[in-house]
Amino acid sequence: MSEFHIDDRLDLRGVLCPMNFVKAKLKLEEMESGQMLEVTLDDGEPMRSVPRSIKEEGHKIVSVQKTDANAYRLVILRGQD
Amino acid sequence: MTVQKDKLAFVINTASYERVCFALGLAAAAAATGKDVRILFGHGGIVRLKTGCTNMMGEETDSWVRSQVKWGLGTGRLPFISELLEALKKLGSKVYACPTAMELHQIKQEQLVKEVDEVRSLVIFVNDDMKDASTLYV
Repeated sequence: MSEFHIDDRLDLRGVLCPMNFVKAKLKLEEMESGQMLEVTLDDGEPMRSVPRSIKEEGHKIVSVQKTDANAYRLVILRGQD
Repeated sequence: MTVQKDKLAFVINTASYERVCFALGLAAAAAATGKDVRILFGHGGIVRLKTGCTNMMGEETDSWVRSQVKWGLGTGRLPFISELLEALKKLGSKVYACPTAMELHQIKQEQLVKEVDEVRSLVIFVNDDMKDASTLYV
């Protein structure tokens, strides 16, 4: 159970670079500043690159949880435009 | 000539699925990180902008990669070209069709997919889109 109020969710398991980041970026663009997006990502390259790119876009990752051996659940606070 | 760090021009002159897909993936990555992206589809690539042909896979795609591409599409690991074009438009990129290529392939403007911004000649692309940009030819 998440401690955050999640406004939207995106399951990016099985989605490779660059579409995992592109899909996250487009979803965040649809949202309002201050809203929370939950993203599920595969371990490995997606976890190394997507969170970094999201932070570079000005958003904040407020929670990272390992959901099973191969995936992570991130909660992202949508930043300002 | 000054090259703007944030402007990229792509010339796509192949229809081979993996090449178009990789080029548009690169373009999408650039657009998603704030770059100004312009894409011109030339002789080899124009067929990908014809309605109904965007995601096709036949002889235009090198035979040795077809099975990998089919597997990637079937498992969701590889995006459809139509999905990439749609994402590029949402990210503000410009997609152009070369009129000479359209003529050679007998493609009419009304047959182009909705993601095409306009039919743009090489001269205008060179002067307006490649100007001050890093250009990638695929």
